[in-house]
Amino acid sequence: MKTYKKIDYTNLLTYFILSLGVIIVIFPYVSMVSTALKLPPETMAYPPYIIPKNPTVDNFVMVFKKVPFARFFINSFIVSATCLLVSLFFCSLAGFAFAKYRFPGRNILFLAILAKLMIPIHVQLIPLFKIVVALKVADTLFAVMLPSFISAFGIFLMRQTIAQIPNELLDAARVDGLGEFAVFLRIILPLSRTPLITLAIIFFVWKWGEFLWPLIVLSSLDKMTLPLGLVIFQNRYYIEYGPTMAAALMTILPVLMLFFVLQRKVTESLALSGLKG
Amino acid sequence: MSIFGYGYWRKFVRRNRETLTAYVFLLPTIIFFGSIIYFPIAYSFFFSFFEGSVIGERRFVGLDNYFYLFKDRLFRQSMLNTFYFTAFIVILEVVISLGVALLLNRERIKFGNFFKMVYFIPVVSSLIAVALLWKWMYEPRFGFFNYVLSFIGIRPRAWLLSENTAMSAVILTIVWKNVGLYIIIFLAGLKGISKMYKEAASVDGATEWQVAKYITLPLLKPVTFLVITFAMIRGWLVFPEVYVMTEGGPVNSTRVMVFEIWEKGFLFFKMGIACAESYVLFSVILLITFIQRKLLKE
Amino acid sequence: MRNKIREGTIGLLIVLIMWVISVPMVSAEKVTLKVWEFGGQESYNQLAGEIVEEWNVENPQIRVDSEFLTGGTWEHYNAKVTTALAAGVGPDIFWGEDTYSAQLAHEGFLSSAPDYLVDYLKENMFSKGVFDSLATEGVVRGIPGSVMWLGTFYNKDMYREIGLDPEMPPRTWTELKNYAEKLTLFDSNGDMIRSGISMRFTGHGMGIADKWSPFLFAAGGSFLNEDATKAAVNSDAGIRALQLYVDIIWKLRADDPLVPHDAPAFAQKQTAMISSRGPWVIGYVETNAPEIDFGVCPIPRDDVTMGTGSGGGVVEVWRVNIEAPKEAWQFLYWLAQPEQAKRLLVSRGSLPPYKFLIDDPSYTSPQMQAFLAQENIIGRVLHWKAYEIYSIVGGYIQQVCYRKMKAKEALDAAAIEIDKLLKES
Repeated sequence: MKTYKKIDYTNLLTYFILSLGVIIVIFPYVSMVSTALKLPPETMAYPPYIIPKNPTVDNFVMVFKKVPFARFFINSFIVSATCLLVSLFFCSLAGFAFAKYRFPGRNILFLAILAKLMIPIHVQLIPLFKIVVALKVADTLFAVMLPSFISAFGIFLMRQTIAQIPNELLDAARVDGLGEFAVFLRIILPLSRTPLITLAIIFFVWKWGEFLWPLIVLSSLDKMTLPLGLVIFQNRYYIEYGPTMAAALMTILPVLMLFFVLQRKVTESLALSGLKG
Repeated sequence: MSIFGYGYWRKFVRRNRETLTAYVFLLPTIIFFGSIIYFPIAYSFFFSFFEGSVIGERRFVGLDNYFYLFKDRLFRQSMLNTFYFTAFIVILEVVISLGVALLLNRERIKFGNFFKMVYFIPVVSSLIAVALLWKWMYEPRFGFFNYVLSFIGIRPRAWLLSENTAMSAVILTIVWKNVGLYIIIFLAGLKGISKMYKEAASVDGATEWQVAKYITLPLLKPVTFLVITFAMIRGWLVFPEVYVMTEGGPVNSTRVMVFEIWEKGFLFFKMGIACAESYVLFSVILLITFIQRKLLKE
Repeated sequence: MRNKIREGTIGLLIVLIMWVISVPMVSAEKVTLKVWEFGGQESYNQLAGEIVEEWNVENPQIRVDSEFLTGGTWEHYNAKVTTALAAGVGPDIFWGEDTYSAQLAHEGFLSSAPDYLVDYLKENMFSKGVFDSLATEGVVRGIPGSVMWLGTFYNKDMYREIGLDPEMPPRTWTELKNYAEKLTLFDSNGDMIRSGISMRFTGHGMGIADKWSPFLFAAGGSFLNEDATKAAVNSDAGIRALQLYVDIIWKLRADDPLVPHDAPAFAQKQTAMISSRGPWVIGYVETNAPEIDFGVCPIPRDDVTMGTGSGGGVVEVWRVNIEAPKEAWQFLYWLAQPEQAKRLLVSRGSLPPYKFLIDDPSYTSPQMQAFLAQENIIGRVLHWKAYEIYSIVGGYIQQVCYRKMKAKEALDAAAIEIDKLLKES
């Protein structure tokens, strides 16, 4: 290993590029906060400036007044959390089946599941909505959750990672008298903690930000989720940017904070999720 | 042993224990996919041979819808646009994320976690929020994008309003949002490459570039393939950003396939054609994924 | 095996419990009318809510539940309504854009107005064009919820600035072009900082064609021929009307694709005129830029024909679901009575569809009078596929304004597509 005594230019360059990346990522958020704190004459000022001259929280107030935004938060949370729990359970179960069992039809079934990833959701929209109506659950949070209870991507990822668990562990457990489902609960799940966390984050974020399906399936204001609230200030003629940015900010913040809290786990889990193809 | 005997069934279960267990585990998945995923998909496929909206008169037209598509300029434009979109998005995302991952992976670079975390922020931000944010940033007069660019001497442009720049602008937003995820995936892959290879190479006198080029990158192929496939599929299915930021314009320059499907199905009530378009899209994605798989197997 | 079954059942139970928690409580049935409205301003929503309550008090056996779907664009709202109807859970009464919901009518989702209501409307509406917008294929299917047609807006301060008489707005296309050219401002780099006039050629095709239509009509043109069997938009009148746009943008450089447009631009003083917009702009400017002294004038006339024809804007129609109880029409009949209509329509910023509203004090301002001075309103629902027809034409208009095609070429192409469309239906 060489040691340098003079200035390491490549390192400097690297840091420079990386910092540039940070600025590129952070700056839009700064402008979002800045706009959220401004009222109309300032939001349309030219040239634009970052620090508002008359900062105000009116936009945030407006958002809460116009729609039950707090309710949207709760709804989004219920939907995202439930979907993620259900999905994690069934995806790992299915992943386990695909990874550790041999059975006729395995490959075809797996392909059928993967194929789903390539289909645009619009194709499913109307028939799916009809199903929801037939089940008499239209305009409920359950209907919003329904299409996301099991994820093809989740099954794919779990299969990848579970495949790497050594069979000896499983056989040992079986010899000890554990039933298959117990093997699943007591061996597989604990060992899959890291990919499960990865999926948890992905599912939560995805469901939190979902727009189209909730739009179609919900009509009562008190059942709506956050993204639907984002477009309240976009009417048929123009967009009111101040309140829209305030709403956007409030949509992003919770997930962001959750992310900061869990971030070490996330990066670790992604590293260990065995993405080796 | 009679087929109705309890003994027969016990033997059956014992012999096929593995298969049965697997299927029991898969039962919820099969039911779910069957009813919630595949039934609607099959229904739509069936519908692509008809004309009309979902309720009301429906005429069987066989392959007419598909023939219509090949003559329709909007469909062709949408296909082309989607192709360009996907190609640029994938290339940019892969190159940038791979590059940054390589940089972050360097020996002497500290604060790795900090950088990773920051880059991941757009990934966890809600898509619609991001689209609205960038729509705001691209505003010609009071948007920050032009303002910042003016410091580097670039004249203000109406990014979303000019057909030459609209696509690039939307691509930029999408890449900005997704790059963080791929950086982390690549980093994970990089960490999996044994340090020994790199050390051996540098002892032999190879520079960092050479190590990267001849050792790291080839070993990273499976991960790269995964990222490309994933990014590609997401590229083909782009919709909310376009819908919020440009509505397919100007002059159809950002009109992508899913937008086209949306318009035909939900605005013009031509569900049959919308379904046909979805299946063409699906077939293309399938085809390209297969081709890609073949190519990378080499 | 037994272990597994037990643990499996527990898992299943958990899921079921979660399911049960979120299933809504089914309310008892009575004659309830579900109404969906595409919400407007706060004040309107509140007033509408009060009016609904008045009905509920007077008519306890027919309860009306009204929901205001605020926010989002027309496309959001339309998609919602469509999907709900397609699945059979649509509202009983809903607010629909005239052209889009004409498609719904054709698909059989809407019921037709009873004779007493049709007679009432015929008697009390003063504009045939607006009345026609309520009907699809000859059958009336709603009452007017809000009516707008278009007028030309101009900034009087800017007129004074360059020496134009603010009380003499443009009356012909020549004057329009002339003034627009003079009102445009460039900076030292040659960039346009203020457009002389703001025309609509971006966004969805439907809106573009809609804002262009008064010019088409002023030139004596129309989208379709007399019995709506063939396209007529590529007539000389149509080409002239489109050429107007082209001249303003590219010959006179009074508008540009790259500058801000529409009401926000007008309020920010970045444009001196709006070529065609509805009366809602009046309220918008008064709220957001009260210092601007502005006026409205009827759409200028084509010099060649000196014809007047206005139209465009949108007629929002109260539609009734085909599956709704008859009582729904009773409610709408009540809404169309002078007392309710007056309050609702004025609060919405609508123009008066009914004769008994014309003398209402809310319409006496000079700006409103400019709207009312346009007599020959042409409805948009020329065919049940009007939405798509407008979208096609709008798409081509955009091509021309972005210099991808020439006016005649574009309109001919549009005509071909429209003819194909008409044949299919």
